[in-house]
Amino acid sequence: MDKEQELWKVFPLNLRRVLSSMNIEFERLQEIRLRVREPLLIIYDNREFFVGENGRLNTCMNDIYTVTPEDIRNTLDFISRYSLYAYEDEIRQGFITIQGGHRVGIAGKVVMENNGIKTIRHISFLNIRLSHQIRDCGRELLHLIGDEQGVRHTLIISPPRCGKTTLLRDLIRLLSDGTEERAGVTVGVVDERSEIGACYQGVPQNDLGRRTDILDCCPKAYGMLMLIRSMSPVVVAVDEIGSREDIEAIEYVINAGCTILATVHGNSIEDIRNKPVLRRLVEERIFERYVVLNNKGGIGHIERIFDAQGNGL
Amino acid sequence: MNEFLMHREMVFKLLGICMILLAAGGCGLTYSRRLRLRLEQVRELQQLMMLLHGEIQYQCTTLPEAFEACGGQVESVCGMWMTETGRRLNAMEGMGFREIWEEQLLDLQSRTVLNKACVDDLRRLGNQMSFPDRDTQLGALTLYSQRLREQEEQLSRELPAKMKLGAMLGVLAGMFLVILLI
Repeated sequence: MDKEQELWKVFPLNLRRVLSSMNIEFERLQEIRLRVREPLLIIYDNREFFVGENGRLNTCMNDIYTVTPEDIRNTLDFISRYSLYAYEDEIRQGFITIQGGHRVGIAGKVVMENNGIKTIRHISFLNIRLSHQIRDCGRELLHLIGDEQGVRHTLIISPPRCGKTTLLRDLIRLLSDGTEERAGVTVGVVDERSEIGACYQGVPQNDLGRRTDILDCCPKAYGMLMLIRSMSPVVVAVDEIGSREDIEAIEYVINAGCTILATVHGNSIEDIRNKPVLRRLVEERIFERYVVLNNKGGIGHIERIFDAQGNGL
Repeated sequence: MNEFLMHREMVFKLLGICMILLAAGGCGLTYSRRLRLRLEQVRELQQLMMLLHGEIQYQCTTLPEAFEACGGQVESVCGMWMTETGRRLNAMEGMGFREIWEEQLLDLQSRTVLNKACVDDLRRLGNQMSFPDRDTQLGALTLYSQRLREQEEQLSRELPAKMKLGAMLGVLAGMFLVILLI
């Protein structure tokens, strides 16, 4: 079954009919947004469209498909395979990863317990973010962050929806499989949110290379230490670092002689300096390369690359 | 000639009596067998629920997977039914859990000798399967297992007497029919 048909299967029959009748190129579809009693929306080619009853895309509210509470409930049933209880941890984090590596963001009434999120009830908002693997998008960057000896400790800085995970995924694949210039190396991936490998029932849905070990749904800080102790990786890759524990684990990885590839939310290197936890990374020159992305030239467009001192390259 | 006809009539009557007694006795025995089979099927359901509880509690498996895994471990009509339910859920036909569950319950009813109370309990369990948290889910399974245990105890307790009664009633009904017809 192709990726498109596979995705439509998570929707109830009436939504399947509407979505599958859209006249679009699936590879350019980025998001599908379902809000209870609001129009069905998609983000396609970086633009927002209302979807009509017959699948027609509109920019005005003339012909719209209105999402019903049953649509949301049934979609959730299919997304969770009728087993929301099996996704308790993911729900607490606010998203579920589905077959194909797509991430479904969820929002509703948050139930708290002991100062933490217990669950989300009355889920009324869904955002299906599509995962598209773009092969070789990291090939150019690989030349800039490494040489024949290996790759440097690199931090990819990017605002949301600029392709940092896509870029990281391809870098992992290239390092793992090797290229014409360099041999492949063992890569350990801590995929806390199942976004990089998009493992479904233990099997990565994205190609991360033949020398890659994935710790799926594992907190980054624990996962990095576990990988070092058990899988002897040459490169460790993590997505969206941010906590104090993450930083300590990164130091451990570097001290263990491994190379770290990581991503972080931000707009610039200054942004990172201004964040209390992440500031240390820049001040102590833990990373040797900082890659700043934007989407001005399309997803994964490299704005600038800096060295450990913050000088542009 | 008359004697021959009378003799033949007598043979037919005797044959008829035997057939009525056999048929009625057979009905009684079938009833007894159904009772024993019901007890076995309740026990199969108990086993399935125990496995399902474990799958959800320790493996955190999704329902389709858990159904298929548990059904595969219990080689019986109920096990096959559960595997089939898991397969249908996995196929994502576009139907909600309750719709599929209802359809599958009809199928179960046609394939087993479970009584209405047992099927109604299963229906209630299906209604509770859509809860998002595991504790509620496990609680529903525990409650249903408890109901099954009660049913099993009741059936086991009543089975010898009911089986005897079924067989006796069958024969007695046959005798009654014989008397009535002759």
